[in-house]
Amino acid sequence: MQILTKFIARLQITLGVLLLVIFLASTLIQVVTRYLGISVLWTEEVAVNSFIWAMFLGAAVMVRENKHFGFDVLTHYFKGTKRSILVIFQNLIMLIFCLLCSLYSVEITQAFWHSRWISIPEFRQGYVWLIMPITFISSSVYLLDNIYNEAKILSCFKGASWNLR
Amino acid sequence: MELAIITLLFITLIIIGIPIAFSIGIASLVGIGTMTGAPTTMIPMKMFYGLNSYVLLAVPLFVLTANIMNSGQISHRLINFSIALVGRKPGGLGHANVLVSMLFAGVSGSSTADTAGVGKILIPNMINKGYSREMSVGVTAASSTIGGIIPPSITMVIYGGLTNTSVGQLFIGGMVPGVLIGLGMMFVISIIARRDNLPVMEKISRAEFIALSKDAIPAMITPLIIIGGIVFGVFTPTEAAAFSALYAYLVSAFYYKSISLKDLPKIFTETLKLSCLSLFALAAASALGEFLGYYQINATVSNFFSGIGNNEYLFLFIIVAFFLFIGTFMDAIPAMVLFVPVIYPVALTLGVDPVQLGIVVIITLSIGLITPPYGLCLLIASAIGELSIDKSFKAVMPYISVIVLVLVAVIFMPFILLV
Amino acid sequence: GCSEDSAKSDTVKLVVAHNQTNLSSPYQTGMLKLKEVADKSGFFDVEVHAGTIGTNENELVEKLVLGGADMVLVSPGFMTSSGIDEVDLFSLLYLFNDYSHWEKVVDGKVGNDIADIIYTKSGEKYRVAAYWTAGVRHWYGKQPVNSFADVKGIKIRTQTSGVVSQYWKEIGAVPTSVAWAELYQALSSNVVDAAENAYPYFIPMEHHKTNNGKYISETGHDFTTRLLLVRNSVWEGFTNEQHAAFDQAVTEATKAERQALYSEESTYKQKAIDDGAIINTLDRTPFIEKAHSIQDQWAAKYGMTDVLETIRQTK
Ligand code: NA
Ligand code: NA
Repeated sequence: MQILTKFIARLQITLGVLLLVIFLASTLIQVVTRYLGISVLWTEEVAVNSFIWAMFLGAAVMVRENKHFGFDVLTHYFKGTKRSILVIFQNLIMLIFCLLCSLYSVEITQAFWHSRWISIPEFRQGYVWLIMPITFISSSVYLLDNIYNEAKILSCFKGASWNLR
Repeated sequence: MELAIITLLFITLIIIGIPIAFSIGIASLVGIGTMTGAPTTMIPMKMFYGLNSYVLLAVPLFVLTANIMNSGQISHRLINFSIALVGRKPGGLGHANVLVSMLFAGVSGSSTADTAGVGKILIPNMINKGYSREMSVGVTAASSTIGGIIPPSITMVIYGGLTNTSVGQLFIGGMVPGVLIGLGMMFVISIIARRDNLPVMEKISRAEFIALSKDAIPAMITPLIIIGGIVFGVFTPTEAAAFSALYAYLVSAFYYKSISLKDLPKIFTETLKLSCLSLFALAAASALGEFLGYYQINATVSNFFSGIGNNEYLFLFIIVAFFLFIGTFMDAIPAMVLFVPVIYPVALTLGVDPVQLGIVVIITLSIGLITPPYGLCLLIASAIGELSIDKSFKAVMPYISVIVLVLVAVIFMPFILLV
Repeated sequence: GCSEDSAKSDTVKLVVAHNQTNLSSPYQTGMLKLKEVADKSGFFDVEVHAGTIGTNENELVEKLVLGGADMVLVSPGFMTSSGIDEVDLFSLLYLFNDYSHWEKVVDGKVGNDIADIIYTKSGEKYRVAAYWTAGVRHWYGKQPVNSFADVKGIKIRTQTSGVVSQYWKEIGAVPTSVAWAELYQALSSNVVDAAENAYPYFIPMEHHKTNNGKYISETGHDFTTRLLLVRNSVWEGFTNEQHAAFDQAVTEATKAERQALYSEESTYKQKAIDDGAIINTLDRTPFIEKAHSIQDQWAAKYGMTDVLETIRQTK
């Protein structure tokens, strides 16, 4: 499981960085072509769509790394078993949300699969929508992994108390 | 009533440690699902559209610029230059501290980077030179708030994205208030310097000064590219961000020779990881905006304001008081993401200028960076200076009064926003 | 028998949305009229959203499909991204001579035919309830336009969709994309030299007060069409009485929207003059001829030559 999530995360980050480079490049191209008096209309749409992909890919990986903004006072307040239970509970709530959003975003992606880009009508909007199911499904996998890992720690505590007896 | 249940749910989620973006998303999902009759599919759809805005691209691009510059050790160079420039005045290191924050603000879009980068060098330096801990921590924390006010500013891009306000105009609007805050803080320092007889830095030679300037000038050109580029029409804010990143790379690679192509993957990865956090929160906030839209909350809020007389100034003061309170325990971006969609339509109906509202909100929230319990700049500075939070807070008080004065000026004299 | 009774006692809730946050826009006037008339009939409970559930037209159409809105107002350019190419007819420049020509076409056979195409091609998801307008678009830039020579090499901010940008390219301008919110800044600082829009849109944004926006040339290249769409599943659920009440509300709303726009157009034109903008009219013949060849090409490609001919013959 951990090998798998690590692999997905690395893939997502690499792809995200690549897209970051693409939207940086298209923005630069936009300025340069404007100054050369050439009309290039696809730059903005390419840039925005790569940006959306990059940010959601990053956001999914941050779920795995547990870096999203939040208040962790309570998490730090508890120790040991109680803390593990709290962390599992947090991840479960997020998991329910991500699973629901996975379903919804599959539905959306199917509904608008054949929509087209405005500046490049040959491109399907569906490929852009695809980032939503990807984000929520991979986040769900990461959350499951986090829960599994925390549960292992939890069983260690239990194991420790068993050993003490 | 229903809204109270959703608010309660949201607060509970936050307290038990669910990340803000997810708490917002879940609250919106429950709200839309149970209260409005609109389909819950709207949630991921709205999150997608929350990021579907060209101007938001400026956020990762400005983060990228700052990351490239920082790995080029830009803080060191700006600090040495600032000391050389104003160090001879009484309280020279204090002045230099403010000046470097203003210069740094022109490169970086955020304040916390400033506190960490500059504070780590200047706080120990000041204490060594005979400044009190209070003074050293206070100046460092307070002056770093300028980071988000002098453009470029990530908070301004987020505000522009939330309200469809011109980011270019917000940037221009932030210039004068940002510089005024800096000058005001220097004024406070000169009063303290005379009272406490603060030390002066030793004179440096002309050759040394020229060498230090040469080191700092390429970095100081970054804000000129960004602001000059926007004002004189070379490019829009997003394009300016892309060019400043390119410029930062060229300077660091060929002038400072501090980074090479090898370093880029790491810099890009860090940029992605850092910027996606704010933007995912923004995406979730769009979903919340959707729920509030279906719930027609803005009608409720604007009814409240028309009930108290539709007064523009009263509205702005309530906004200031509200965000001062919110800012004590919340970061600027999540706070804006949560509440700007609610107050913005009301501001429009009251005839408040969107740029003025943005600057007021952003300056107010920058005060939150130095107020306990949760003010990141204050926390970082007090940790570096090994000073307790309450003493640190006391130390930033005089500077907060400067920010408040400028805030009042922005409310009553909006012409200083130059737009 | 009993189902009819319950349908009568229940009012149908309609979520109606457009993309303009400005509460005095003609869209809002039209939709408030729709609400007023529909609510009064006792059959409907209309909820109007002025940008509050989305300012992006793609998003509004997608909401219509998913059930997040029951009626939306969108421009034809966005419909083409849903794969309904024929709607792009209304994006063609110089298609209409004036408002009365436009009204005759959209309220007549052509309007009905396009509505049928949209209904079929949307997969019977939504249908056209009425045609509204966002005004007539003119050139405004750093210099007045009288001939093609005046647009040569000029960077103009315009829509990025096919036929519109094609036209500006063919007459020698350089179509450029700039976000609407950044356009004021872009005009005042030479990022672009010109733009094009209708008075009620660019005058409130004060574009005419910039150096690159103060010369307004009444090119009248686009008498714009906006589509008021209604979700088919909602529409099909109406009883006969509800249909009648709905049609009446739509008719009155449409009248109100067009009227509001026509009067705003003259108000804002006057404001432009008072503010010192310089307005000129021009001989539009060469511009119209150029547009006609693009129209012909487009119509041949999408099998719309007959429709185009009908529009040209309509007087
Ligand atoms: Na800044
Ligand atoms: Na705070």
